[in-house]
Amino acid sequence: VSAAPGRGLAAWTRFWFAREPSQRLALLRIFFGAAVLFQAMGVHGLYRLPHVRAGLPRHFAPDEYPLDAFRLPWPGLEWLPAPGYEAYRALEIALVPLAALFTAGLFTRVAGPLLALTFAYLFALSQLTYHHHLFLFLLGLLALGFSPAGDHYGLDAYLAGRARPRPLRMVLPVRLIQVLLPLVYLFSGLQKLTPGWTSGEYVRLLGQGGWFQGPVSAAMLAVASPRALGLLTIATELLLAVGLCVPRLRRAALWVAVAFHLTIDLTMEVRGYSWAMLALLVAYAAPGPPRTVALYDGACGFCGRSVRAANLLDWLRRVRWVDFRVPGAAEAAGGPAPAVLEREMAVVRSDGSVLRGFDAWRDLLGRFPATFLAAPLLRVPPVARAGRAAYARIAAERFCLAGGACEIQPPPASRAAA
Amino acid sequence: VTARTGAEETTARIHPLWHVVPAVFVGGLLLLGARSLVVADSRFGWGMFREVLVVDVDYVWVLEDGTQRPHWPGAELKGPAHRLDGRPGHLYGYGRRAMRDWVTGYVRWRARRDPPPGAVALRGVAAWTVNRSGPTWRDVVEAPVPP
Repeated sequence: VSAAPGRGLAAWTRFWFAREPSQRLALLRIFFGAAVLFQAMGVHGLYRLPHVRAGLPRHFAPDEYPLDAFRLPWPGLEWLPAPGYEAYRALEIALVPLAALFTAGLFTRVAGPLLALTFAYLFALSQLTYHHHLFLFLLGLLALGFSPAGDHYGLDAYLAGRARPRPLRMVLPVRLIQVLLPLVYLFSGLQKLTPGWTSGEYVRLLGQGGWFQGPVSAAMLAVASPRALGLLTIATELLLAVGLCVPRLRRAALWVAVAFHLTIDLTMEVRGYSWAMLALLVAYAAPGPPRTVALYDGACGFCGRSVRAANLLDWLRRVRWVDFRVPGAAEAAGGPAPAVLEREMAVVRSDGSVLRGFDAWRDLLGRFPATFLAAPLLRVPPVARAGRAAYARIAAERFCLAGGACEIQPPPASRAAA
Repeated sequence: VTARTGAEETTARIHPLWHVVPAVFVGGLLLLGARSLVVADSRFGWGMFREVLVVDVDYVWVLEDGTQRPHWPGAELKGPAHRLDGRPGHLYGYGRRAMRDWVTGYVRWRARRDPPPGAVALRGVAAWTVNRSGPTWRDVVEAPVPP
């Protein structure tokens, strides 16, 4: 019993302060920074996407300036000086380049804190301008803006060159986001446990009040009753609160969350809320040593180029590529015999199962952050049939596709020796 | 010499103040969420579209002799604050407590600025209907005019 507090403290410390490669943090910076950038430019709402116009610089008229009259400061923050119209406008506009720098990973250690502090200052000036999505942006920026999020996938990292050391980083900022999202879903779901929502009356009122927008909302309201939509919304939010916390359910929960926010953004005016939530879901992308092995033909130039292209998409480095022509490599990885790999590449998954050819590529694309959303389309039967046929043809002619003389290149001595 | 586990090494490198960050973050979110559920103020509690209030606020100056004189807000209510301007039918989505805070804040602020002669207080009477079809609630807040 006396060891329990020590174990608890160790678990707490491991959870919040363990160190890990910071690719995930960098991805969060890119996606969330882009969401902040769109918010700062007034770009939001998938339902109105064809009609969206980005403001560069952002248009900010004097009658939008709210602080020259009754501004209702937050309790305890009355001391904050309210800027005049020109200064306020300058700060609103400054959010755009700061968010752009943060997203691009340029001067990240300066742009991140400046962006977070500017946003926090504007947020804290008045109770009257509170919005849930602004509070979400603020929390995300406080967690990420001060973090070392520029080690990867940014101009800072590129300009520093490959030789620059990339130390393991504290997992704290990612964990804050991982805890934030379930709490948002939990409280949002609990707050809807009212007769208005469970009876569907409130969804009906939203419809009558013009809250639903765009063509998708009309189809949705035609298919589902207000009561069903109300109950579905509550159930989804509460299930997401649980699902994101349970590792076994997390993958399914992430898909549900993506569908949920895309549906909201296609049907309702919620400003930048959905885009921010979608961006923050990146916090659940699993880093760590690559547990998936892809066996490819190292003697084929076209295959080598395909591997390089795949590596560009594999931002979390979740796949290890192995040349099956290296003696014993395929066997060591648990893959099929070299005779099989002569015909098609293979993927050995962490559970030991093996996928080959088109199915293997489809599995890989489902693991890459840049392509995982589109990968399910490859499961549509006609697409899968066409994909398998195309793969078989490409694999058969891969040595000619390399632009060479349609012959197998002998493996380099060094590769064979390895 | 005692071999250290990975967790102990992590602990050894962490300044104790770092532990405050997640404790405040998570504790704050939980407290704000619970508060939001209890006091019908969805701000900071993620009460997205919990209810819509149809708001109508009337203001009167209370004079020394006990009589009342209507007050009509002017250009001081800009942007989101226009919901406090006394015209009927404004919609508000952050809960009854938050709306009451707005009205209270306004009458306190306005009572200190150019009150009419003889005024001792500014009173705001807010009436709201929940989700358009619910019962009408009435709330009265008053701020004294400083001497």
